[in-house]
Amino acid sequence: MKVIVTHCFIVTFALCASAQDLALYRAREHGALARECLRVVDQDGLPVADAKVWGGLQTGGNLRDFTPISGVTDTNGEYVIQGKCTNRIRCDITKAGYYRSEFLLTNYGYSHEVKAGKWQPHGDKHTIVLKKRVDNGKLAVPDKRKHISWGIPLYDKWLGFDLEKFDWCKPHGIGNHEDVLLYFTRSKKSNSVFRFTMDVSFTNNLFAGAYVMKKDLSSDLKTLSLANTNETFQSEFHYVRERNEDGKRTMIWLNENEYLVFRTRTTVEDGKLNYAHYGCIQGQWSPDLDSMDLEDGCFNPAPNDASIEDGFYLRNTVRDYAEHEKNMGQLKGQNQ
Amino acid sequence: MFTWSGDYNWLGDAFNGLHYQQDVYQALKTGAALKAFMESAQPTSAKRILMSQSLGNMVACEAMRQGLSVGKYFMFNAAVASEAVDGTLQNANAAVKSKYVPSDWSDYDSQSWAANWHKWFNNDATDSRGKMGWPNYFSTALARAGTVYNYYSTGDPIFLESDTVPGVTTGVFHWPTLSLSWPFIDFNITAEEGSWQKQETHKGVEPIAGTLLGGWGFNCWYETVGDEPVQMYYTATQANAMVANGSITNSPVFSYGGTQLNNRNASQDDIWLSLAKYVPAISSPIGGMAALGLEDHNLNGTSYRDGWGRQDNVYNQNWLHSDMKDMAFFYVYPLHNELVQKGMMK
Repeated sequence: MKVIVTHCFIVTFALCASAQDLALYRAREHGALARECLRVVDQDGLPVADAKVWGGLQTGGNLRDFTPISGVTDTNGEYVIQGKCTNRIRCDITKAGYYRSEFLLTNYGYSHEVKAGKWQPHGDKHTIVLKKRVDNGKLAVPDKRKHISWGIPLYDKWLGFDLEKFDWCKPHGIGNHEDVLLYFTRSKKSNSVFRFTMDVSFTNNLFAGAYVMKKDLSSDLKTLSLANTNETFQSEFHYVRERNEDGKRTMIWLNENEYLVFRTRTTVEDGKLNYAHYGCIQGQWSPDLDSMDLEDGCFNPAPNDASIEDGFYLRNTVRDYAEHEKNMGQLKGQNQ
Repeated sequence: MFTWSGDYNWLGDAFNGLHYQQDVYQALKTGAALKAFMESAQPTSAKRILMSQSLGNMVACEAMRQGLSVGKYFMFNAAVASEAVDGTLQNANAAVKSKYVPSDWSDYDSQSWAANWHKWFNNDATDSRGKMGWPNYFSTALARAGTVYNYYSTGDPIFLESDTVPGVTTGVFHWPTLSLSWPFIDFNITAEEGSWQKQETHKGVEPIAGTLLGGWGFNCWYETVGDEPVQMYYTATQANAMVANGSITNSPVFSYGGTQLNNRNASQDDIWLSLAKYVPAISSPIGGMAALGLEDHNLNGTSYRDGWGRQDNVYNQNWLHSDMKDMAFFYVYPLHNELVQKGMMK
């Protein structure tokens, strides 16, 4: 009797397991109903209504195998993505006056289960931040016509770097303010055995420093719009690029998915911070063979203005476009 | 400018990419010619500046492996396995293994893979099999360059990688997008995507853009069970036992028939052919990563461009494989400025 019961149990269990596997297989091949609830908000957490949501849910491996996503958010900034899906959901969220954001779920069919023809969990909630576009256009940025990496003029000595001019301080460059101090060392035995270091110090300016942030890769504005002035600003950083004889690598730097929000050029009154300038340095920022590589950055020349909304995307989309429009307008005027 | 026959095809220009392994073989064979050319053109090694793009780096590295010395070597979008310049990068972690080792082989000891066959023989300088491996194949080559610069792009579609071993059509088809001009729809077919990962992982197992010998194919034979011939191959347990006692050198687990992989007297030409067609790399390409640790420059960032002249449906504003020449100078002059500066070519 025991044997029969055990066998019945095993067979039932096996059938259930097989049915589950089959359902999952079918869902990955032919799709199951997916539901994802988006709430689109701005930086302040306020809902963004009428934002366009456009994209698709994958339904197979061939062309046209997708369920379109197309609509706008309601007054609460909410939009529900619903439809048949095999593995991937992606859409753009756009609205005039905001930076584009992306909503992306990859490997859906492998990170979800299926019950009654529906992917589980069903109806997950997601908050999408759509960042407002201010484009104050007043921030100082590196001049790529002159620099994309900076040759290191001296080793084993502190060097001043001007974050507004994005250059070494005089006499090594055109900088006037020692906004940050940098100290480089190098030793290279061969192309595969070396040690390069870069010490970063804001200690020459009281209350100056920086904090590290992860870039927001889902938005066209990868950084914050405003520096958080209440954040803890760290005054020193140590970066190293090393590979030893055993092939062990130590690579510590501000990597390409990070950025530093800095505060510098401070003035102090009665022991309290009076004025400061803010900006950001975008990774990768690291020492190299004979140069310092710095991806990008910006400096707000207005004291106590914490706006750091700038950088590549803004410059290359909005500002270039505005320039283009301006030129076209001038041309039109000339032609008339 | 040094060019060579590096785009082998017999199906027409549209299918060049399907013969990548043959192109690697021809690149390796061309190294000696580049060495001779550079040595005659510039006798002073310190004054030689070598710049190579894509598979041209295979030619350049082979030339240096054969003794060419240069003052500066610039690699652009290098289609060379990173393990070839730093052996520690081969199968370096679980993520790399997932990308480059087919699941059929994941339970097999890595010493049984075709990629590591050379390790059983590399203590004997007279055994050609010891030279049929990618790890550190070019490490002496880079030592012959005063300074090496690696200009790579994390947005290069050729070097984009799936998290797991891709199929032939992985990454090829994307959702179509509507456009305002004829034919009003972009089908977004990207046949080039993931080419590097495919050409390495499809060695031995895939007739399209791969090979059917060596690589990740199993050494199979037939045994009669009852009256039926049954295809046999070594199981992981058997292979791992053979690795443990060393007997695997008599019985390769991978498909080696029809190749020179088990010929201790193989010629240099056979070694090149084996590396190109039958020995899979288990690492990302130099052109897609910071492989050197020093002077690695990601072209896909914002440093090397000033604006951008293309908004691609699939790749957005990525720096693609040949954008250093394909994109207008107006957008990519920061790169060229840096090359002038680093190469001291003003």
